[in-house]
Amino acid sequence: MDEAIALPVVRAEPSWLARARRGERDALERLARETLPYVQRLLGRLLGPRADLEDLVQNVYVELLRALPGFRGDSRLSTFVGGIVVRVARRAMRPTAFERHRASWDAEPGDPAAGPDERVSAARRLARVRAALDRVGERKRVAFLLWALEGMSPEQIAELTGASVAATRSRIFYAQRALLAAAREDPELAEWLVESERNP
Amino acid sequence: MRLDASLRERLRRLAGPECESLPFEAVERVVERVRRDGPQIVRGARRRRRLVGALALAGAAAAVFAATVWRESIRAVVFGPLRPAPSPVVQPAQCAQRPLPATRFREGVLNLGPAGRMTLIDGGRADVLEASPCRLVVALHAGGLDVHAADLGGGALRVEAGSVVVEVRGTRFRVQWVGAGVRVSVREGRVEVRRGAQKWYLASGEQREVDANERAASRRQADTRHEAAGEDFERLQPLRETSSDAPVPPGSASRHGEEGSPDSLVARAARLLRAGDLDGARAAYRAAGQGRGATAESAWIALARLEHRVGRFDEALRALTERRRRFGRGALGAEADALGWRIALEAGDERGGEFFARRLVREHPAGPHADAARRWLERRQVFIERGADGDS
Repeated sequence: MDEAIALPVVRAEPSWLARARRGERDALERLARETLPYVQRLLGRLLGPRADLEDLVQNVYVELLRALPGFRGDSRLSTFVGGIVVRVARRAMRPTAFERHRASWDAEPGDPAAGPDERVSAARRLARVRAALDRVGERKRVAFLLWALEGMSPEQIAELTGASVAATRSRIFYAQRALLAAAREDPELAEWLVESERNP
Repeated sequence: MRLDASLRERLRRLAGPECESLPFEAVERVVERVRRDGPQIVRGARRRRRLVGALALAGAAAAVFAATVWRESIRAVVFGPLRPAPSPVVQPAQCAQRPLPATRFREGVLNLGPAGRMTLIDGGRADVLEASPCRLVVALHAGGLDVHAADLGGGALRVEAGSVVVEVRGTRFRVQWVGAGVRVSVREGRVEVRRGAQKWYLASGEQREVDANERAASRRQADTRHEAAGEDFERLQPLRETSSDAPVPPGSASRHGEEGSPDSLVARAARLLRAGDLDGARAAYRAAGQGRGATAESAWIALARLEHRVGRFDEALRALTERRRRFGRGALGAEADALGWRIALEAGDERGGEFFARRLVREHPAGPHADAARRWLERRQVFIERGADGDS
């Protein structure tokens, strides 16, 4: 959780945010630059490598700009932006769009500290994890990916998705159970589970 | 519901800290688009928000305005003009403002002013039990009493003769002791005659003799019949003393000896009915009902409707029973049972109503009245169960 990205605009000065809400060009550009890393990262975590990532980011900003006049600053900006990202990602997860634009799983970056072989192997395993999670519903998948890959707490995820904490915990639990069940049928995932358990 | 922290840690290691990100050019394209189109999108969204807010405000204001200022006008458009509620508290009945000119019989006459007049006949002897402007109760001890109730102004007028209570629903009637019984004859309008739980309505030109000294006996008899009959409503048929002794007007059909086809007899009954000859119409319907076919069957239903209309519920039920005896379920069974259900309920006979409703559901489950009967039976069941709970 400590590695979860800290969004710089959380500490955004109210002055430029207010100007952005009024539609001032410079303030909007600043908003885009400040939030882009967070948006890309969340989309990457939720969807994995996608050929249409740029389109999805554009979609996030169109929705963000439309919703901006309604943002009163009651919640953190990261929550506001994160909610929009989750909405766009969930739409993109639906099978038609998802299957049409999904790139090869091998493009998953993996751990840069690992060697080239290990990175390829990690990317393949991560692809299998995502494939196993394809079988669970979007809400459960989103909650699990934010919890497992992004390191968010159930409370943070609940805030982002607009669900209760109990519902979020339940979604994570069921996605986790589905993943472990799938791992039992997949030799490579099973091997990774055993191996990673032995060498924490 | 345990979340596996170790699995989470292993997955995070597998994914690594990095994530796929857009190349520099793509990031610049996104930022450029936000810079170019952003102000327009944000202003458009602001305009939409203002418009939606204004519309919501206007809607709310219109609703409040309609609910307060225009409420009566709108209601008048939808439901028709408002009429003052007939509340005895807010608007006292007209009778309250008209004190009775007399509260005792003088020379055999009780002058009620605009409310009418009562005259003792046949050496009649009566006492005024209650004489307030809106409620007059007279006890008839002997002889007879002619009552002309003109305009009661919402008040009540009642004559008690032993256990028989005659309550005014119309204008002119006579209550007379005949041996141990009381004869009530109506010249104009309609009256309600009660004895204990039993009730009859007499229309203009009708009369009825009621045994005033058999209140307890008749109630016992009725209870016994109910218990013995169970579901068989035919055996719950009205008591014998309900016969009408109204004179048959000259020129009307005789009670017996009607001849012709059911069609012609029913047509004749309709003509007599239009001419106001109720007894003639009754006789014609009965004669038509002796025949066969749908017209004969419908004659009994028409007779029941006629009796129901003049408030002779017992006679109406008797006509329906006769139809059932002759035609069984017949072609008009559903209609007859629906009518019987309604009549029994209006006569205050819940068990009779239940009998008809059950038969309606059982024999005509797809008929137009079956659903209503089913719902009524369910409500009645709930009512009875609640009553039983309350009793316990």
